[in-house]
Amino acid sequence: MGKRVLILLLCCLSLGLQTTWAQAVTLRGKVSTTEDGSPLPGVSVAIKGTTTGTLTDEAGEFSLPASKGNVLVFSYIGFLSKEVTVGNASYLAVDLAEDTRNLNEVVVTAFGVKQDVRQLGYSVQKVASKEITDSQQPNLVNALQGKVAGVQVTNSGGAPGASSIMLIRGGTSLSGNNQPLYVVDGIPVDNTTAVSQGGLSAGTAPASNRAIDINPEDIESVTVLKGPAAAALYGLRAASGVVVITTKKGSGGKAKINYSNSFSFDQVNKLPTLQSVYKQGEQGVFNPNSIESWGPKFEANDPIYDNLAGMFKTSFTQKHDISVSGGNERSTFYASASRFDQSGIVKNTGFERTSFRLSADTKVGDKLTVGGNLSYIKSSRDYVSQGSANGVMGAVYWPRNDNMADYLNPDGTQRNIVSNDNPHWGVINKPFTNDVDRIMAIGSVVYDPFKFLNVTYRLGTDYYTDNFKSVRSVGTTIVGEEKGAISQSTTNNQITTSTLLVTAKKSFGEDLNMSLTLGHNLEDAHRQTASWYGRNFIDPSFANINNVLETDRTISQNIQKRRIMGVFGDLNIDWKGIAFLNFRGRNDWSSTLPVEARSFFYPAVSGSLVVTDLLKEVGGVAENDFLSFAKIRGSWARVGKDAPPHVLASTLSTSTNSFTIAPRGFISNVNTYFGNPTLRPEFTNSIEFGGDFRFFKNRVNVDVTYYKTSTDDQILGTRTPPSSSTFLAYLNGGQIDNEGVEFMVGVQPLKSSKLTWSLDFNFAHNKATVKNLPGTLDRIELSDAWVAGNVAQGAAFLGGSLFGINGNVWKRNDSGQLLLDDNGYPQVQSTLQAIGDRNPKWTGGITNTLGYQNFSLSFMWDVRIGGDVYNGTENTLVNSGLSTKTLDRGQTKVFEGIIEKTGEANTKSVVLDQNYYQTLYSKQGYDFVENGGWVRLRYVTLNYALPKALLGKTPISRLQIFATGRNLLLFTKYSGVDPEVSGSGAGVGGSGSFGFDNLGVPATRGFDIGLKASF
Amino acid sequence: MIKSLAKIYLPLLGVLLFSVSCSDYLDVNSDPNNPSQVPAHSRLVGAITTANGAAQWRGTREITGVMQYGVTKNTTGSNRNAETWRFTASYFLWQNAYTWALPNAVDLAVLGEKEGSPHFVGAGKVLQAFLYGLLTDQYGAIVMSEGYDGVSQVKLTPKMDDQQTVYQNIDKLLDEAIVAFENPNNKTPLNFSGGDIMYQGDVEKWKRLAWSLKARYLNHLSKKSTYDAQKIIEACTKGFNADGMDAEFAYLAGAQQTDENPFASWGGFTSTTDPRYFTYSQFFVDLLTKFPVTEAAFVDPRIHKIMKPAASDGQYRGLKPGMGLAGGQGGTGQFTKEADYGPFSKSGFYTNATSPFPFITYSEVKLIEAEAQLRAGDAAKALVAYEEGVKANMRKLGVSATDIAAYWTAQQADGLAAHFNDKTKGLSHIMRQKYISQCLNPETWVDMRRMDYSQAIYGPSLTRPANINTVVFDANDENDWIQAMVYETNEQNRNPDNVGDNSEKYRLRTPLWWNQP
Repeated sequence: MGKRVLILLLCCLSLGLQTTWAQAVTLRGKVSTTEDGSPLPGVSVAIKGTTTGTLTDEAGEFSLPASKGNVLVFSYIGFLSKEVTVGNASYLAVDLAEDTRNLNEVVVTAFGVKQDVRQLGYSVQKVASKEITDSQQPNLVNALQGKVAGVQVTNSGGAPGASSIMLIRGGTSLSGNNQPLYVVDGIPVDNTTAVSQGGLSAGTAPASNRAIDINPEDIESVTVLKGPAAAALYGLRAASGVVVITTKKGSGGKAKINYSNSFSFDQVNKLPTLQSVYKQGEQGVFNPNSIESWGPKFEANDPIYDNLAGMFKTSFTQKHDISVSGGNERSTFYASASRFDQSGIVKNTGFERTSFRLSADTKVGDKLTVGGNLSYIKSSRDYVSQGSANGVMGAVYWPRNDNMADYLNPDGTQRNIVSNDNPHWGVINKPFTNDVDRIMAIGSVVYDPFKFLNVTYRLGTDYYTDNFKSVRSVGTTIVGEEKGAISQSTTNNQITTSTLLVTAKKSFGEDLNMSLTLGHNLEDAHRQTASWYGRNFIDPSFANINNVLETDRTISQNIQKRRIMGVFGDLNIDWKGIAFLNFRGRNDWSSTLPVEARSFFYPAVSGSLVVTDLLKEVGGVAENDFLSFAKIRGSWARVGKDAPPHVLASTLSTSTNSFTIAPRGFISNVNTYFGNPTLRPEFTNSIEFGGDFRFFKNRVNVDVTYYKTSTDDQILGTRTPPSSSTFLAYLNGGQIDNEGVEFMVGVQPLKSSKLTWSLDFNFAHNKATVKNLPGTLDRIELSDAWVAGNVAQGAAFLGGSLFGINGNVWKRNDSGQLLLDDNGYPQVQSTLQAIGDRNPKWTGGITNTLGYQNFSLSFMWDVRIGGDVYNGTENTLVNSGLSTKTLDRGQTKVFEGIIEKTGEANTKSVVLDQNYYQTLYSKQGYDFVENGGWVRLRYVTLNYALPKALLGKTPISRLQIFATGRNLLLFTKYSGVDPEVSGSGAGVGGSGSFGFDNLGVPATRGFDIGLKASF
Repeated sequence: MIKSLAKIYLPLLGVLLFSVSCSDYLDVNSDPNNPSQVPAHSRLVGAITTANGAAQWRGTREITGVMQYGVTKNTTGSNRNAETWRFTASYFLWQNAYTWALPNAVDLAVLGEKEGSPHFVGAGKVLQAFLYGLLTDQYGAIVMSEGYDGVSQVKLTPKMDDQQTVYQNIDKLLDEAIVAFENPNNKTPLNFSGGDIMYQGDVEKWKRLAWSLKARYLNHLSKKSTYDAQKIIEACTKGFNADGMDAEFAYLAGAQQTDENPFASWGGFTSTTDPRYFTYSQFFVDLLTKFPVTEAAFVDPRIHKIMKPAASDGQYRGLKPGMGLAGGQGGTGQFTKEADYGPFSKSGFYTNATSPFPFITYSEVKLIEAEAQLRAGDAAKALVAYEEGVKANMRKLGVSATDIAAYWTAQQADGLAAHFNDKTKGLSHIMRQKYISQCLNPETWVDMRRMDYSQAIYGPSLTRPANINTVVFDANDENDWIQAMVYETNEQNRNPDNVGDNSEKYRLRTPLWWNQP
């Protein structure tokens, strides 16, 4: 298919070559910037009143046939246009001044198309390279934290390579993926976070999100397209927004070499406080074989160990990046290599990334540019088991009179207590490893047969192999795996995309300009995973699948295929650069839907009006110093979404689980969804209004957006009652509304030649409400978001939040009174209830950038107001008796409530003992929901550029040194670890698992130093 | 200009049109991992194995403690919850029967119909009848008429049928199965691909299985006015009539762990510190060492086949449910060492790796017949059926002819024939033999409830467990026994209107429809 498109494209190209011009005198020239004289490539040079024109090349040079008296119009996005009358000179040197009103306002929207923000009828936000690298985050997604209004980024913890979740304007799907589409240089790339690799439960070994493979240093800019209006051109996968990444390219002129490095030190940011009053034992009696701390009080001279803090160390990370770029007037190239080597705060954990990248383009003739880039990335991750008392946070279950660090018996076997592995033994003997080899390749052909016509074809592929391995060494206490076990999986994932864009531009008179883009898009995604499991190592010291009997091995395969084809049109109308209108429409055909429902169309309309310019135009209102610029914008858009692959039919299976007989043949496949051959595409409708206002000669910018989206008739993977003979089924139904506001304020309080200070605020509020659910369902539960102890899970509630917490509660009557048992103890209700909302009320960030001569200082406050966190760690601590909540043990209490049996008010006093805490208190989740809001100094970076004079005689043209502190200050009411948590990582769809503190590696704070040099 | 535009756009249009028609490109959605449909003969083995190792196993895993066959060692931990009746909505027979087992039986019948092979229709309906019977006997009202039918889309809130309706429908399913087995126009034989691991394609035995189950479910209605002994006797006659017909298959050793009998290992017996059941109960030991009615001591030769003696002194001992090892033999406080007890797992006929876990046996059919004859007032015929029921089970366990004869002579000498002239005494014989011969089968729980857990039937050794769940059960009323199970939490949360009152107090204590007059 792609091949045919290519052939066709070549046909198109050959057409253009036949066209010739009538020759006049050839005029040559160069366009550069007014500011520093650097050449400006891509500037449009046109003879006014004709269709003759050209673009400047990489060196800023141009040549075109012109006659004396012709007026040349030089225009370039982000710069003020200039008109020059041709005189006698055959060489023109022209400089263009930056349009300060539109400074930094060129964004890349669909398929690598650069657009002036001024034209856009919807909100987009761009994050520049410097802001990304300043944050010193290895995971690109984390680098966007706090930067973009309405974008909520939650890292899932402090383990190196931990996945990061991005939610743009809440979420639109009850069960599916709510994360945005990631696009690199016009090609969608994979950002999958694998759930339950190697058959392990989702919370035990949360995987990385694969955008972590992208080296942040290679990025020129990131543009976040927030709503369906912005996303319509990327098609159905863009329903949750798009992260458009543009990578660095070479530029003409002398070859430049850049080198940068950084060295980082991290430590655990925040740990819960454990009680140090009571020691090991049960019911107040010391018992050296008990894992619990319900024993007697510590004596005055007893040692008290800080077993939890003992699990963490200071980690060291280093990073080296080198790039070479250059080119001549026809060709440019950019090559980079990077090495990132991070060790974690837990022994035997780390993340390494080595990447190489080559990008080049060249002009063939005057009208054809051929380009491409190729990246190879190798990512390796070492991590450890989490999410239960058997994992890395097992210290929450370790009596403090015992030194957990003493993890070996004299005979070399594990020293543990009862049924849990010693965490120190576990991090060495239960390793997880993950190795990814990834190639991203993009080729593009850009052809400009006429000034009014551009044809762009781009073919790209993103391919990786992901090898996962989990070993449980001989001697573990995991039931059934005492003699060792190994789980492995290999995944091959590929997304190939072909895009053809044909853009025609036409002016009608002087005032009206139109451009029309027609496009065709194919996307082929393929993912194949083979998993195998073996246990009972024959040779106890050799962890390998071949080292188990064949009867102790299982293997399975999973293949997912999806193909999407789309055609689309994009019409822009521009009146005098004052009013803009945009119409878009797209039709997609998806392989995942029934044949009769696989084709679906969705349109979008947006418009914007520069009010200040309009007033000038019609009323002659002069520019004033107060309001320098005002624009209003609005859009309406609809975007469709298809089903996950292979869910239209129920399937059969030959395997069950470890609690059920091996079936010896085909049985109904209960491990997957009940097939539904009647699925229809789901649609999200959105409206958005906004304004962009600038005051005091652009020193103060205010951008406000209001939006509302509604996704109904969702393709919903829901849990069903077991009596339906399945646990999971896909169906159309349910509605989610998101409504929110976003504010961005930019202020430049100081702007002198020596001292500059700019402040950027962004704040957003989003409310995601579940308006409707199919059948009589009142919630959509997510089993991958269960936490240890199974008293709470993520769920979306009808009439409530998409990001709710479903948990056990005390039994109460309709008027809210506790219903107590005959003895006067409260009882746990057997059905779960909404006990919290993880959605923050407000999210935002404040970025300060100060410059003084060669120094620059930037720091960012990351603010999250509200948003509940379920403290599963505390719940475990209550069970183990290490929670400070259990310090009132032994005291008596009269619970206010009524005795359920008699209906009489309670007067009985009960003891708050071990039984109460373990069998009652910790079995309800309500008391473990806490406010997870924060204000944190996400990073502070100080840069110093060495004066040029000092570098004069060295080959170094520029040298900067910097120091960064990350997460240095954290203000939160949350009692546990750093509240930036996610129980099962970013792979959990729908409501997700953020806001679940479930015994994961806590977040870190750290310090970096490094340098950047150019040669 | 327009011409060159046309030259450019026309091929583009071509691409679009070509692409639109290119539906082959999009036809990649059939599941590449698993088939959606295979012929009925390839579904039979899975329908049989899951009915046994998913449904019946999960319907007895905890009930083994309730029936007082097995007792746990520790006095803490979740294993003990079952034998002390601490059941909550986290009891999971429901999902195991409905999801892992039932759709296979339903599909089998649907496919058999479609393929012109009524014998598969029969096998599918027999297994469905068994599964619905298993469910209703633990829960009462269940989803049946709105359950999975192999054709319709999934129902999000299926309605429950009351137990009376369920029983009518079970009987109807079995009638339909019998008709299907009798259909001479059958295209594919049951054992076409070796899937009939119970009867190797012997349709006659399948038909007798259907009649045997009819007898079982009709016999459950002993407290109902509609109880019809003659119908039961007729069904028994058409049911199993010889050794070697038991509805069962051997589990496999040496393959995957889940190919083994779950009581041997994977059902929770692998934990060395706290296996699900540590040893047998003293109640079961008493039944195997004393005769009914007289409580005269006589060692049933089957005890050596079922249990292992204590490592310490070679004696057979059991624990008292709810007291753990610390409670000693029968709760007396004597013998509190592990070595004083034989193990539960891998102890003999019922809990070895290859032990079958029968759905229903010839022995049970004969004992059902004995009960029906007794209730019909024919003690002589009851005695004949009883003798065959007992001896068939002894033969099955490999008891020697000499030992069988000696056992029978001793029984007769103890007044057996005279006992059968008294309904209660006769029932005591029948029920105690059913308890022994249906070892670990949840059918025993049906009998115990039908008999009101009566000591007149089961002997003085049957008492309520120690450390009982007094939040639900009356600590002082020795007649307050567990009657039914709580619906599963997933059903309660997702289908609440149809589940209704699912409180433990209501569910665990309310007798089922057949157990009410």
